[in-house]
Order: sequence, then structure tokens, then C-alpha cells
Amino acid sequence: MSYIELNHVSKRYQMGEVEILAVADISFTVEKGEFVVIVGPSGAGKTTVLNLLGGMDTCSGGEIIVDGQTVSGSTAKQLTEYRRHDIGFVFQFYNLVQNLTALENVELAAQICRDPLPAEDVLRRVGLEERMGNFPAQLSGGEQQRVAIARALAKNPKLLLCDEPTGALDYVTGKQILQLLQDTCRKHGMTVVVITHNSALTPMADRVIRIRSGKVASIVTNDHPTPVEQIEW
Amino acid sequence: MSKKALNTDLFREIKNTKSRFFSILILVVIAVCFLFGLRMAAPDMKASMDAYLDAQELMDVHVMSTLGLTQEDVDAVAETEGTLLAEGAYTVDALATGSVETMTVKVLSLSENGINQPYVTEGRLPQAADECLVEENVLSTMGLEIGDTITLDTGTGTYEDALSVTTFTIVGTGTSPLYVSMSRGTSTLGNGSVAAIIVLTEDAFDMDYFTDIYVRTQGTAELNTYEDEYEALVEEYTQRLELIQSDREQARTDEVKGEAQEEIDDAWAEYYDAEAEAQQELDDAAAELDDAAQELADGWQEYEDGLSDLEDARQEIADGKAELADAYTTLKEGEADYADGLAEYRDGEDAYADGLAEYQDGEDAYADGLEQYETGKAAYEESLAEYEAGETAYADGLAEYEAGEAAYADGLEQYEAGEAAYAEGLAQYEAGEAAYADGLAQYETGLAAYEAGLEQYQAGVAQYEAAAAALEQQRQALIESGYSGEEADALLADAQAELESTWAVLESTRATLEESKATLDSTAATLEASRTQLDKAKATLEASRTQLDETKATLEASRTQLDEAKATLEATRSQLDEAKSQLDAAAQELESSWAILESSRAELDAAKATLKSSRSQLDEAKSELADARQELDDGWAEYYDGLDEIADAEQEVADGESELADAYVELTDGESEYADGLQEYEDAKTEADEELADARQEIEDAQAEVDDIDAAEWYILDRTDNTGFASYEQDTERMGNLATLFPTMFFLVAALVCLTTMTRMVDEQRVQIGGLKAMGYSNGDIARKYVGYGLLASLTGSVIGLILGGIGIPWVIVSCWKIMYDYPGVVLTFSWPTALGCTGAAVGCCTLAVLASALAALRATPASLMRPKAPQAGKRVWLEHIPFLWKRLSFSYKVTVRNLFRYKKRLCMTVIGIAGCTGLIITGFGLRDSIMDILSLQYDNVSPYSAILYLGSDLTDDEEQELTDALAGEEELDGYTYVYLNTVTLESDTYSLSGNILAVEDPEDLDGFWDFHDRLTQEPVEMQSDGALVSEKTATLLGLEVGDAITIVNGDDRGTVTVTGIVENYVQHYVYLTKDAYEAAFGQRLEDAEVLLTYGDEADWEGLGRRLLDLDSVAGIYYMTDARETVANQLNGVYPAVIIIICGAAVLAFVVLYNLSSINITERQRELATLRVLGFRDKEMRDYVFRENIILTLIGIAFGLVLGKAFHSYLITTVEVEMVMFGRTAQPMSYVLSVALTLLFALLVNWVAGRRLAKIDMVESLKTVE
Repeated sequence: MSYIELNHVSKRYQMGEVEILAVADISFTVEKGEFVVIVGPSGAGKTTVLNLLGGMDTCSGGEIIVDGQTVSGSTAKQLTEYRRHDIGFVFQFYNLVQNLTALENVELAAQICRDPLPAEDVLRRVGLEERMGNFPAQLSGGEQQRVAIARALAKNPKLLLCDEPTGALDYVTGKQILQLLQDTCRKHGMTVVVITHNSALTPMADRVIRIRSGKVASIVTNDHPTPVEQIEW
Repeated sequence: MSKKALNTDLFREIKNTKSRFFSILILVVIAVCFLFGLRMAAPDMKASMDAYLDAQELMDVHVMSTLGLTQEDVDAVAETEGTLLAEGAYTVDALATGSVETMTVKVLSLSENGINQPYVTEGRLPQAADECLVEENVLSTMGLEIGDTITLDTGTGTYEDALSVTTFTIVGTGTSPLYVSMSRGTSTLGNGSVAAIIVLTEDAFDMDYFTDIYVRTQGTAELNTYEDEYEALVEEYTQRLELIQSDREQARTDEVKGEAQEEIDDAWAEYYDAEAEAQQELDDAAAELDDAAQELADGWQEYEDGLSDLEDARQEIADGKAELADAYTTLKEGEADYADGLAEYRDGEDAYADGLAEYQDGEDAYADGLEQYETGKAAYEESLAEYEAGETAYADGLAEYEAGEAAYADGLEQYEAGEAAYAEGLAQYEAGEAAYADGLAQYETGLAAYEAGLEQYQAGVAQYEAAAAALEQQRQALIESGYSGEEADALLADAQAELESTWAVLESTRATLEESKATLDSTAATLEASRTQLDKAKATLEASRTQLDETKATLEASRTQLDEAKATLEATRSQLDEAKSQLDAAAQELESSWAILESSRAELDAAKATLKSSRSQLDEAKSELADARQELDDGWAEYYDGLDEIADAEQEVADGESELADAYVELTDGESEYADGLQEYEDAKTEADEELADARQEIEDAQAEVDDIDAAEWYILDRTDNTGFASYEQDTERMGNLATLFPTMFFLVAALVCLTTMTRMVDEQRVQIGGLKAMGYSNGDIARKYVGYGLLASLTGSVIGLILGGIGIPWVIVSCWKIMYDYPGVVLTFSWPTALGCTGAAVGCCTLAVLASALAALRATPASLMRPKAPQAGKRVWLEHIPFLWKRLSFSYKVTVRNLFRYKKRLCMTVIGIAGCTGLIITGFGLRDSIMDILSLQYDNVSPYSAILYLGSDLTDDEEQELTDALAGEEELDGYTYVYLNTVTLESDTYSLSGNILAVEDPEDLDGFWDFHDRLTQEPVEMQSDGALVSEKTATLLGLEVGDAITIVNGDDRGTVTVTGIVENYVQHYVYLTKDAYEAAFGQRLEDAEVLLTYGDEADWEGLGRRLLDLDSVAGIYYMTDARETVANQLNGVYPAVIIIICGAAVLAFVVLYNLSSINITERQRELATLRVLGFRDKEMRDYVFRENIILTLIGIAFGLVLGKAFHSYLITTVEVEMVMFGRTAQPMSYVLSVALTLLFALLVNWVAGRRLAKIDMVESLKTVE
């Protein structure tokens, strides 16, 4: 049994009189410690998959199992607990609390989970030991994303979900962030799921899941992932 | 160019943001409603009153005169230009009495032309002279109904005979437009305070002149009486009226003076007639008096003559009397001589008779003596024979006695010998007895010794036998041990021998014992024999004893017999001796009596001869005496004739004297009569002079008075001089004051929130604005959407607010004031300027706010608009620089603190909004407290007495005593004190008002009835004897401080006193002082006219009242519970306004909080969504957001408390009515309630907002930043 399993997951949205099938039938598995990239064009349903996987939304059909725990069918409360303890989120736009310093932003996440990592350590790990006391507005985009990653890591989650982590970053910074994510996966055995529309990132993943029109187009296992620095896009 | 798409966008925007649109709408509704409603309250109050006054045709101008007004005056006023209608009318004060209660009332005449028409609430207007219309309170106070009768008493003053009828039937109830307020003015009657109005027809009045002229002017009915135009028109008219004023005053003065002068002239004529008449009468009296004097003088002369005649007659009588006296003396002497002779003769006669009697007595005595002597001699011889027989008997008795004596002596001798023999025998017997006792003792000792020996012996036998047995045993033992019997015996031989010797001893002992036994037995026999002998001797002795005793008894008996015989003998002896001596004496007596008899015989014979010679001498003297008698009788007859003559003469003199005495009395009477007449004349003359002088003085005084009559003075008054009218105007202005500050505050808070909301809206739509701009829409077109949004919301809100506020609030407020003022209906007006002003303000605030934000946004380039507005950068707050505090805060509080400082605008808005709302609620509650508190403060703390007793005027001592007794004996009463309490006018340099004066003899009298203290410090304030205490509000209104002077106008008297203290008081104005202080200021002393009473809550006050009212001295009673109720009713007028304020403030608080909280959530939606994604639970989310809200609310409340206190203090002074001082502080409970209410709203709002929070879509966090 895999660490993460999605079995025939579907999601419908009722928009007025129109029913939209955002995800039709998606099934894939992820092993513990894998670096997974879910890739697909805009509107393919990858964000829906992220929402479902991240416990931000409930699926209309199928089941999601994470570390033996069935996430699908959970109540809102259970989902909150799931997000709280098992999932680390990295947003495209960092979503830092502007009014808190880098350290405080990490602490904000750390203070609510069961077994947090020390905020300073995590920030040091992402290379921000010098900028801990700075407010987000005083940090560059890359630095802000590092804080966001640190915030996600500090929770010591089972799964790190990243939504277009490089979407708002320039090429170099983007690469640095990807490097950080890959390092996190390799060095700390963190299961990382990156969602992106950028196919260029696929070589660095252990597993690449392609989604198109709400369905899994292909699942490719990459036995020899390319290091980030060798990737160009 | 049609921009339909934009309009569609506008409406869709409204539809999408319904809650925002409506929150703005509601805010505008509330703000406009309050602003417009409260603003319109005052105009509507005025309009309502104006409508009423117009309907009742209240006079525009009111003319009064010091000398009254005549029909000519009325005509003159009527002819003045601008007069619509002028009419004379009457107003008098009276005491109205129903069944029991009496009230002081103003009696008005009913206009025939409808001027000052009473407003009839029930029944109808009076039509006949004996009908009346009363105020409703007359019926309720007196317990009457329509159809009952009422009696009016106009007192003894100015209006004594003003009414032609005094009993009236009540035909209706109503009010007069002349008296719209509670105050009915003052009067000199009753307790000085007019309680009600009574309206009569003009026929009921019987007066020479009108007291008032009421005028309706042309063109004023159409105007609002409170407007300047009206005042100007009336002012113009009064100026015209003033032109005729002086002529009319002069005419009236002349008329009054002329009438008076005529009266005085008449008086002079009357005076002169009277003077002449008096003079004539006096002259007649004087002539009469002179005649009388002459008559008296003649009388005296006659009297003197009579007196001298009398004197002569008296002399003559005296001479005759002396002659008679001499004759009388001579006669008396002759008579005495005759009497002596007669006496001598009688003595001789008597002596003869005595001698004869003596002689015959002597003869009788001699015969008796002889007879006695014979009898005595016979008795003597008899006694002698008796004595001799006695002597013989005595000698026999003596011999017998002596023989008895000798026999007794022999017997005695024999007895004594027997006695001696007995004694000897007894001695012998006793010796024998002793010898026997000794022998017995010896025997018993011997027996004891024997028995002891026997015992010893027996013991020895036993010992022996034991020893024999032991030996035998030994022997037996020996045999058993092998010895033969023999050997054993041998071995035991010694022992055997010893045993045998023992036995021998024992035997000898036994022999001895037997011997002694025998001896003992013989001794016993001897003893027994001697015993028998002794017993025999004893018997013999006893027999001789008995014999002796008998002999002795016999001897004693014979002794007694002998003694008796001896005594008898001796008695007989002495009797005999006595008889002997008696016999001797009798013999001697007999001899002497014989000798006496012999001598008396001789004497008797001599006396017989003497008697014969004296008889002849006596007969001679008797004839001599008869001659002398004849001579004397003749002399006496002559003498008595002389006496009779003299008596006649004396009678004559006496008659003359009494005649003279009568004449004298008559003369004296005449004299005193004359003197009386003279006195009377003098008195009459003086009296007449005095009376005439008085009359002259009176006439002259009257003349002076007439000369002094002040020229008539007109008072031309208009409506503003009417107390009720004017105070109503003041009250409307007060309402106006309330309407300025309060809704403005309200409006500002609402506007602030609108502004924030609209600004936020523009900010939210930056990107869209950028897009539109990029598409090429002009700035104006783009701004139109937002302006349109604001305009639509604020305009709609304003219209709703105008409708709600314009109708509801004035209706409630005007209705409330109706409690204090008499006007029947509510008239609502609509003021376009006010309405437009309010709308303009509301719309302006919203629209301009939107426009400003929109224009600010539009100034930016489309490109920068399309870019997300850089989120407000976080930064450190000053609190972080205080590590001491910062480190102590938990992480979540750090976040909160930083957020608070981050959104400063929101912070200010929230704090101001909440502070405003809390302040308004506090003010609302505070107003209620201030109003309701004064009841308890006034009637429980300041003046806790229970009732006032009004006393009648001019009480007699008896009535006062009765009252004092009644009060002292009243069990229901806890206490009472006499005071003077009256309605007065109080004046200072700047102001004057109607108040009360409370004067007491001694400040301590008021302990427990009235408490004087400072309101703030609660320190007691002492009443000084040289000044007055003034109630606080009074001092404030009059601008007085301690040390200033206050003028008191009490009726016609004025006085000025120094203010020595300012004391807490809430209801009405008071000046408190001692009677000394009053006297010092006014120069006259006050009489107690009221009594303050206290009694417990449980007391039977109705019974108490009835009992006290039954007293002649009590005119009325006023219960403070009634006063309390009255004041409470008046104060209730403001109460609904308070409720409106509280409700408004509450709604405002809710809306403000909701808006701000809503903005807070919208602004931070992304942040909150992120937090949700991070796994924040619902509660943690709420805490994160609402911790800020709660802190802001608390800060707002803190500011609100301060604001509320200030606001309340300010407002209370503006809404206060003149008569009452409201409490200056709000109760702590009100603060608590206000805070609780605000917190409740905050929590409610948070709860609503919390539901929104839960609905935040986490997908928001994934969106691109707008």
C-alpha cells in the first residue's frame, strides 16, 4: 500500500444551473519520500486535485488515503485537523501574514501543530538566518517563498504541497526554491508534491503525474531524477 | 452616449453587496431620522400649541390697569387700528368649596365673542349665571362630578362682592388657553397658590369695572405665534395702543378721582350740618344747667333759717327738763324714807312672828326629849340581862376545851414511843440483810474456785489418758518391731511409772475437790435459813409501820378540833367585853339627858312674857306708815304731768329736724345732679368736638388719599407675558437644544462609518477601475458608479429617515409634553429647509466620501491600478521596544497588538464609534437617572416630611390651643413643626423667578423635616440668623453666590437678605431663613401659617387628615405623596425622549460594530483564508480576529464612559425645566448597563461575523493578489 493513494477521485461543482466536472476520475499513488510533480495545463483540474489532497475541499466521489488515513469523506472539522497536522502548504503568492516577521510567520504555523520543528532551525535550513526579524515587505520574493516553505516545514507535515511555487519568481530564484524543495525531499525524506503547469520541471521528479481535462493522462516514474541545476526552461 | 453597461454594473454591484448597501442605508435612516425628528420636535411643539391657541382664539394683547378698565376703555381699544376684536373681561380670585375640600381658584369670565374660549373636555360651556366650567383637577380633587355644585368665596379683599352668585352648578370641564402650563399663578387667598381655573358667564360678575381687556388683532391668526412675524405684528399694534394709553389712563384717573372727590364733598356738607346741630344741643343744655344752679341757692337759704328755729326750741326743752329732774329727786327721797319706815315695821312684825314660832318649837322639843328618855331607859335594862346570860355560857365552853387538851397530850406521848420501837426493829433487819449478802458472796467465790479445780482435774485426766494411749502405742510399736510384750514393757517402764504417779496426783486432787464441794453445800443451807428469818422480820416491821401511821392520823384530827374550839371561845369573850362597855355608856347618857330637859322648861316660860309686850308696839307703828303713803302719792302725780309736757316739746323739735335733713338731702342731690349735668355737658362737648375732629380728619385723609390716587396705569401685555405661553416656548427651545447636540453626535458617528465603508468599497474595486480606465472610460463615468451607489443608498435612507423621523419622533415628544401643558392635539409640520439640510448632510457625507476615494483612485494610472495595491507593510510597534511587556505577551496577543497598530484608521473608527455609542447609551440612562432620582433625593433626603398643614388666618388662642393639643395627642404623627411657607418672587440683579420662602423660629425646628447640606460634599449647611439659605438651582439661575444679596417679594412687601449658604434641593425654588432674619429684612415678624408633619409609611394618613381638617384652625392639608406624584408626572414628559435616545444609541451601536467588523473581515479575507489552509480551527480563527474587536470595544467603552459622563452633564443642564433641578450624576448602574449593552452588541456582532468567518473560502488563498 502506498503512502498516498487516490482512487477514482471525482469532483463536481454546481455553478447555478451548470454542473462542472472539475475532476472526472483520477487515481494515482505516491510513495513516502518521493518528489512528485503533478503537471497539466490551466483548467486541467490540477488545482482541484491539490485542494482535495490538501483537505481544502471534499471530493464528490472516490477516495483519498494518506498514510493509511482516509481523507475523503471527512467532516470539515476533521479536514481542519488534517491540514493542521499532516499538510504543509506552499502557495504561489507565499501568503505570508504581512504583519508578522519571518520568524513569527513560521511560529504562527508551528504553534498550532503537535510536533513542530524549532522555527529558527527551519529558517536556518532555508538559509534565512539573517532575515528572521524582517517583515515580508522587507524580503524579496524568493526570500518570502523560503519563509513560506519554512512555515510549511516547521509543522513537520507528512506531505508538502506546493502550488506553483515558482510561479511568481524569476528564473534564478525559482531554481533556488526548487533546489530547496528537492533538498528537503532528499535530505529529510519529506514527501513533496509540486503542482505546476511547467513541464520543464518534470525531470527533477521521482514521479510525474500528468493531468489533462480532469483525468490522469500518464504517470511516469523517473528512476534517475535530474538535479535541479541541470534543468533549464 | 448611453453607458448602459455601467448602469447595469452599478445595480449589479448593489445586488451583490446587499449587506453593505443596506448597512449604509440603515445608518443614513437612523441618522436622518434622529436629526430630522428631534429637529422637528420643537417646531412641531410650537405648531401644536399654535393650532390650539388659534382654535381657542387666545388674545393677542392683554390690557390691565391699576384702576380697572371701563367700557370707554374697551371702545377706545376697539377703535384702535388693527383691532379685530376687543372685549372687557373679569378675572377674580376665589376659594372654591365643593363638599369638603377647598381650593384656591382663578375665576374667569366667558367671552361672548369667543375670545380665550375654554377648551371643553367634557360637558359644555356655562350658559346661565349659576353655571360654571371647571378644570378636571377640581373634580378629581374634590370628588365631584358634572352636575354637582360648587361654592365660590371671593374673600374680603379687592373682590369681596365681585360675584352676584356664589353657588354654581358644574356643567363641564375644560382648560383655558390663558393657562396652558401647570402654573395657575398666585393669589392672596388660601395657601397663595392657585390650583385651578373656573369659568363663569359674565352675568355671574357684579363689578363696576373690567379687570382685563383682551384683544384679537388683525392678521395674526394666520401666523405662527412663535414666529418673529407674529411678534413684530403684535409689537406694532401695541405701539399703536400705547398712543391712546395715556389719554385713557388720564380719563380713568379723573373718573375715579372725580367720584371720590364728590363723595368727599358730600362728607364735608354732612360734617357741617352735624357740627351745627351739636352746637345747638350743647347751648340748650348750658341754659338748663344755670336755672338749676339758682334753684339750689334758694333752697340752701331756707334750710339755714329752719336750723336756727330749731336751736331755740331745744333750749326751752332743756330748762323744763332740769326742773323736773329736781322734783324727781325730792320725791325719790320721800319715798326712800317711807320705805325705811315700812321696812322697820315689817322687821318688827317678823321678829315677833319668829319669837312666837321659836317658843312653840321649844315646847315641842321638850315633849320629844322627855319621851326619848323614857324609851332609852327601858332598852338599857333589857340589854343588861342578855349580857349576863352570855357570861355564863362562856365559862362552860372553856372548861370543855381544857379537858380535850389533856387527852390529846396523852395520845401523842404513846405514838412517839411506838415510833422509837419501829426504828430499832428496822436497824436490826438491815444488819441481818448485810450479813446475808456477805455470806452469799463468800459462797459464790468458793463455788468458782471449785469449778476451776474441777476443770484442771479433768484436763489432767485427759492428759493422762493421752499419755497412757501414747505409751500403749509405743509399746505396740515396739512389739511390732520385734520386741516381745515384755521387752517392750521393760523398755517403757519409766514412762509407765511416771504415768502412774501422775494418776496418784490426780486422785488426791479429786479428793480435795470433793471436800470443798461438801463445805460449799453446807454454806448454801445456812444462807437459806437466814434468808427465811430476814423475810419474817421484814413483814413484822411493815405491820407496825401501818399501825403507827393510823395513830398519827387520829392525833392530827383531834388537834384540829381543839384548835377550832379555842378560837370559838376567844370570839365569845371579846363579844361579851364589848357588850359590857356599851351598857355602861348608855347608863351615863340617860343621866345627862334628864338634866337638859329640866333647864329648857325654865327658858320656855321667860320667852312667853317677852312676846306679849312686842305685840302692842307693832300695832302703833302701822298707823303712822299709812299717813306717809298718802303724801307721797300726791307728789308723784304732779311730776308725771311735767314729763308729758316735755315729751311733746321734744317731738316737735324732732319733726323739725327730720324736715331739715330731708331738705338737706334734697339739696345735696340737686347739687350732685347739677354736677353730673355739668359733667355730661362737658363730656358731650368734648365728644362732639372729638367726633367732629375725627370726622374732619377722616375727610381730610380721604381727601389726601384721593389726591394721592396714583394715576391709572395700563399694562399692555402680549402672549409672551403669559407664564404658560412663555415657559412652553422655553421648553420647546430646550427640546431644540436636545435636538442639536444629540442627533449631531449621532449623525457624526453614522457618517464616519459610511465614509469608511464607501472608501473600502472603492479600494476593493481598484482593479476594476483600472480596467475601465484602460478601456478608455472617462474618470467621470467611472466615478459615477460609485457616486451613484452612495447617492442611492444615502438618498433612499434619507427619505425613509425623513418619513420615520418626521412623524414618529415629534409625535412621541409632543404627546409627552402634553402631560405638562394643556393642548389637545398634535400637529406635525414638515420643514423643507430642515429636511433638505438633513438629507443634504447625509447624502453629502456619503457621496463626497465616495467621490473623494474614487477620485484618489482615478488619479493613478491604469497600470498601477491593475497591479495589486501593495499590502500595507507590517512594522514593529512601539510596544515591542518595551521588552518587559512584549515578552510577557503570548504569541497570539503579539499578533493582535501588531494588528491593532497596523490598522490605525480602523482602530480610531472603531474606538470613536463605540465610544460614541456607549456615551449615548450612558446619556440616555443618565437622563433617566437624573430625572427619576430627584424624587427620592428630594422627598426622602432633602425634605422628608410627609404633609403640610395649612392653618387658617387670625386664629384665636383657643383655636391655637386646640390645634396644639390635637397635634400633641395624635398617635399617627411622628413629629410636627410650625413654619411659615409661602409663594414669593425671588429676584437678583439679573433674573427673577417664582419660588417659596420657608421661615422658622429656630433652625433646629426643621431637624427631620428639611435637611440643609451641600450637594457635592454632603456637608451640612447651618442656617444663620443674619441671612438666608438658597436652593442650588435658584442660586444658579439668579447668579447668586454666598455673600450676595437676594430680594424677596412677599405679597406687597419687599426685603433683601444676604445669602449665607447654598443647599441641595431639586423641586421648586426655596429661600430658607429664620424669622429673625426675615424681621431684620422686612421689619415685620411672620406668624406661623403652616405645620410640617411626619408620619410613618404605615400610618393611617387618611384618618389623620380627616381629624386634622375637622379642626377650625386647619384650612387644608397637602400630602407629599401627592406632590411626589405630581412631579413624577411632570418628569415623565421627558422619559420617552430618553427611551428614544437609548434605543437609537443601541441601534447605532449595533450597526457601527457590525460595519466595522465586517470591513475588518473583508479587508483581511486573504490572510484569513491562508490561516484556514494552515489548519486554524474555527475558534482559533475567531479568536484571531475578535480579540482585536474585543480590545477595540473595551477601549471604545472606556472612552465612552468619559464621553458619556461629560455628555450627560452637559445635556442635563440644557433639558432641565426651570422649576426642577435634575440630578447631576448618573447612577453607577447606568454605567454598568451601558457597558453591558455595548458588550452585548459587540458579542452579537462577533457572533454574526463569526458565521461569515466560517464561510471564508480557502480557495481565496490561492487566488492572485488583486
